Amino acid sequence: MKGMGFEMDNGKITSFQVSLLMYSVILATGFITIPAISAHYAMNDFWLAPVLAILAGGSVLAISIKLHQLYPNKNLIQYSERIIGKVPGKILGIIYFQFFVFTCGIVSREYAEFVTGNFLFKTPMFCLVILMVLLAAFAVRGGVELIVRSTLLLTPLFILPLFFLLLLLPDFDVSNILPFMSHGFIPVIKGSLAPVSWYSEFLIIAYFLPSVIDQNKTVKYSFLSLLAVSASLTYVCLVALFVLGPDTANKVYPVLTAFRYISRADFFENLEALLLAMWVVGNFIKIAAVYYAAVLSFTSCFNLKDYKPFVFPIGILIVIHCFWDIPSFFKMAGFLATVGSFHLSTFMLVVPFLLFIIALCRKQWSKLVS
Amino acid sequence: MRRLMLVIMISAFVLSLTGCWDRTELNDLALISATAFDKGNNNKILATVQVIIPQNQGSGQQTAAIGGGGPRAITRSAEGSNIEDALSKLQRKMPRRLFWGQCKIFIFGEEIARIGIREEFDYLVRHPQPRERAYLMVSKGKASEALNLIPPIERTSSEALREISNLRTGLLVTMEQMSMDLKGDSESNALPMVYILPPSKLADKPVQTIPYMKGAAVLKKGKLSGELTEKLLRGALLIDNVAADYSITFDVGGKQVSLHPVKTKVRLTPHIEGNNWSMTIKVQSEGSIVQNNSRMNPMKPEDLKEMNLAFRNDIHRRIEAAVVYLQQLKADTIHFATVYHKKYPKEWERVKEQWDEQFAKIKVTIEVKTDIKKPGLINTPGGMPYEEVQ
Amino acid sequence: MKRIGHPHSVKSKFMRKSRLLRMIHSKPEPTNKNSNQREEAPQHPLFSSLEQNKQQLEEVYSKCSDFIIRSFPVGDSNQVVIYYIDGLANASRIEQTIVEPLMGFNGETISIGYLAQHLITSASSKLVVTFDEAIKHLSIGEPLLLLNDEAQAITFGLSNWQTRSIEEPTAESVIRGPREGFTETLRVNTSLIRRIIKSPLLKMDSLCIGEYTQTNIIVTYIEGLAAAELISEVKERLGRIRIDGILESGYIEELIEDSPLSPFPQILSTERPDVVSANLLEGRVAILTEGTPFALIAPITFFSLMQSAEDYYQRFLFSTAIRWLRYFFAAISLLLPSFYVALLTFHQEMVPGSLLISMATSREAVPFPALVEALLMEITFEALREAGVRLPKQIGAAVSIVGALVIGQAAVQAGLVSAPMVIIVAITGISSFMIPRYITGLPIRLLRFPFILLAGSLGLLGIMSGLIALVLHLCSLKSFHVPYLSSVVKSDLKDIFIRSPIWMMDARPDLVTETNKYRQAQGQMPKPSQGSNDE
Repeated sequence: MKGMGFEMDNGKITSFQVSLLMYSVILATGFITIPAISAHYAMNDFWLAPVLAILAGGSVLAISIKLHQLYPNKNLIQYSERIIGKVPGKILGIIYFQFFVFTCGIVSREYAEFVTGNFLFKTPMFCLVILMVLLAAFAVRGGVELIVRSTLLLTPLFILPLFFLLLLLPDFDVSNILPFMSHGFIPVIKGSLAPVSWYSEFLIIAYFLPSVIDQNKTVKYSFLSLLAVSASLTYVCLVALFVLGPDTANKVYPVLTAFRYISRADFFENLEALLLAMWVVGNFIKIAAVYYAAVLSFTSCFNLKDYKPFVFPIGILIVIHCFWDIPSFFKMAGFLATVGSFHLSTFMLVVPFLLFIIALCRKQWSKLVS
Repeated sequence: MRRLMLVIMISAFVLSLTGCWDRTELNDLALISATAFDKGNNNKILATVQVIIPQNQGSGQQTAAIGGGGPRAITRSAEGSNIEDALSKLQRKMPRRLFWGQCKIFIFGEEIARIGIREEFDYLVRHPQPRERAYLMVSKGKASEALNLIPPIERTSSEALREISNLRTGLLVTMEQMSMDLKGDSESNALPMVYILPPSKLADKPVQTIPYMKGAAVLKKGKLSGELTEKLLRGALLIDNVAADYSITFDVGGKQVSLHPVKTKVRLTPHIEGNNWSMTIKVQSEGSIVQNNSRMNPMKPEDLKEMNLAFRNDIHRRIEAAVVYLQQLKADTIHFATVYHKKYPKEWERVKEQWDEQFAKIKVTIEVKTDIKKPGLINTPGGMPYEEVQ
Repeated sequence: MKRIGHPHSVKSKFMRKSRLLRMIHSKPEPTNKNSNQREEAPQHPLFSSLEQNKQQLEEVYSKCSDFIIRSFPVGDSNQVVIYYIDGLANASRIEQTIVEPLMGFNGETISIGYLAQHLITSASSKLVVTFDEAIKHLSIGEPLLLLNDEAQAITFGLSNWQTRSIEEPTAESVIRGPREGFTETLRVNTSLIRRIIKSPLLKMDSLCIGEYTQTNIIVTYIEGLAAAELISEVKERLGRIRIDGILESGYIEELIEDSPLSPFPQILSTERPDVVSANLLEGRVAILTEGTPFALIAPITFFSLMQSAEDYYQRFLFSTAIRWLRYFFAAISLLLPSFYVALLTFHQEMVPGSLLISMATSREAVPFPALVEALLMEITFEALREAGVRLPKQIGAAVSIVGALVIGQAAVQAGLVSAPMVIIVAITGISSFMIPRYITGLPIRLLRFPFILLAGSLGLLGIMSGLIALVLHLCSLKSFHVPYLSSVVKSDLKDIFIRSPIWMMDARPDLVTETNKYRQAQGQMPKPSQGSNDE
């Protein structure tokens, strides 16, 4: 409770933990969806897309860290009130709250679609979503410490299946990478729009930064996390490209197909259920983080001291969004591949950038005045 | 405290709700080991599945008491306007739910392959249950006959096919490879051709035999358009460099010399000069002698040189024959299209539409380097006196 | 919670004896001085009249056939009364050191001080001035001596009750390492620790819990290593306990835990003095309880539950390997049956082909769904195991034979269960014995069942959801304000996934103490001495 900005969550976390959290947040859905969307535009150069998108991810990170340095101990909503004034700030807060609830709903829907489309065909989506949102709600109620601590334990479970992809090594056809950029640079840029929107989710870090104790390491670790995200995503894309070649764009979930293709010694076969395990864990982390951002947006917007009573009601809102916003899988895939990129990057990249510019101008102006 | 109570309540809620949406007991599954697609009446598709009978698997003592002795698998067929239609009709004839997770073999009958399997192939890659790792084959004659056999050694005829494929002596095409080929640049590919082995004289019934693979079916855009004999297939496999374990027998002065195993490295180098497309196939082969019918002594440098020369000519001939045949067919199963696409994307883009024609026009030069590495356990030809070997 | 708020209302329910007794029993324990929840109960001073004292004491101990009264004159004008409890006090030593010298004395009037200092030859004696103290000493077997016209009494350290000899702890046996285990006698236990840690900085605070049992509890720690807040927290929580009796340290454990509803123990219990000493040296606090060989250690992390004392006595490479084996089999023990159910009912394609066929073959005759089969077999196994623990040793062997034959052989042959399921249950059983501490095995055994149910309803997804819930629960658990999984979180991994060599573990675990960071000189990796290297 020190300083003027009141803290709603007294948890103390480290930069490393936050970076790990962000890694899982970006990649949970990224692994599954990005290769297909990027391959659709960039053909066999789609593995470049995650590398290119570092620029966007880096700028989001830089903006959120810089803004946090300008307004320490405040989250996005709290400092936007300072930057653009009380009423516009509140309005922006409500918009962000709505945005995060919507994003959380989309993520839950993606998760449920993936599970019901590939593993549990008859299980009602409703049940899966509720189960997941409930688990996330417990994590959010436990506060920031619980979220990052469970992330720390669950991340290995999340990353481990990726190493199973190396079992495909004998099936790699490295020459699939050719012809390199045969259609020029434009398709690659189009293909990198999807990773850009995913990377811009790094903005969520703005909600966790006020709880970080070792602020001096934040820059180092968060950019490491960005690099790790990019490296992992490139790795997955390359595996998909080497194994599936021109067929990648045709698959709804290229990584799933790659997993299905694993076969070693007639024993390690059909390992896609492992991907399911990874997917569940990753999505839990992602949903919990976005959920947390939504809850914090809400409470900071209305200056509420205790966020816990709002966790479950907002959870219900998320479940509702998950079903009302998206009528079918086709609509969801269409949204993610087209509008979604712009929608996400508007809120996660453009708006913070504007805030940052205004904040800088204000600083300069106040300097001039004094 | 409240959290724990909630967790308990929620798990109780989940458990009571779920009941059994997706739960299927193993006893309620019909484990399909292979599927065959044939042309039925009136342009319909005849789907035949081979289902394993768990009661008859004679493994462990308990099953001996229950039953055993009967056939280990059974086939069932149904007709439909497409695969799904046929399969749903088939399901109605089965007391257990069809389970594709272990179906490793899909065989297309010759007739249906001639009509084209592209449209039907969609089902196999779209449906979540059939595996991308499954092997695809085309059968000479009706595909369902290959499944009706009762193999003397293996559990089922499909397992026999799978085990033969796993030896990697010949062509081996998985569903994902087929999917890539159909999506790929040449849109042509080869599938192994399944024949039925004549039953052994010891067999009681004519069905006591196995299917086996010989040669390959050439598919252009999913349509059967030609057939590679075993000899031609060897040449084609050499270019694609896929077979792992094979032997080569060639003539040296009218007598045969066999090498095993043969290791081959192939490099395809495309060239484009104006409108002249050419392809250089550089082959580097090496092997060890396992039989020497000739009078040559491989320990003598001049004899070895002669053997190497014969080896080289043989490989050259094989590859040439395959290329010539495929160019006649205008079916690029040896992925020249991909090679050109990778090296000359712009030029390739121009001929993409008429690739078949362009493929036939490619001038192929073959450069072979061979090396006989090891003589085996003896040096001079065995089984004859020393003097006969000059 | 109510107990703290209204101590008297609860107490009056079970205090209906004599007024004095009630008052005596409401005597505060030493720790209560700090806690303001309960007001100071009045002490009852001894009377100066011997008759009054006698009457009072004998009323308190009325109908106690083991309460011995010995009254005789000393010298010319003095009268003494000796009280002791038969069986607890050493009667022959009382004879030698108290009765004999007093009877042989024939001087004049003496004071009680003179009597204690000059006449009685017993090594330890103590003056008491209240009934409360007198009763306390009597009840632990120390004889009480009253002299006429004195408002004081003396007690002598002559208690001598039957104790079990020090034996090897059965629940935590080691191949290499000390074989002493705690006994039921508190003094023996403290002496076992004191023998290992000889520094006077080893503190042993004594307190008394239990209205009727008056059980002695000792809170032991090393001053300067254990954080002061921790010590006061432990004492504060112990001081809160209001209960009839403490029969085992389990009572205390349940009454001072952080999350009482969690299936996981948040306090370590051990019978081994070396384990207690090691933990004290790492800055933890141990609680010894009269009447049980099990000492409590707090705070702990999840990983200390997975360690065995022997880990530190064996070569570190082997200990590391064993640790991994242990973690792996703990996971197996928790998840194998549920994984089997998930594979068999949801993800059949994950099972390799030929294995699936043989599983299908063996399941063909089984009438139950895989879920029911798994639950049935696991429950039967747990029953067998429990029966084996409770039965007399001679019958235990019979049970295991019957269990193995009936469950294993006959059930499979009758087609009631499939052979793979029996194998799964057997592996699960064996792996649950890999867990070094019995108390750690309990939550894992218990949680196996919800996991089986989850697997039966949602397959692998159910298992993963369960795991996430478990991780969330473990992450939110705390043991005396130390997060249950803190060692992972603080990335102090030197002693968790590997057991680093002793010469590398320079720092104490940073979860307990802030000061005094290093436990040994750094850089002690043994190597050939410098001199011999030069030559």
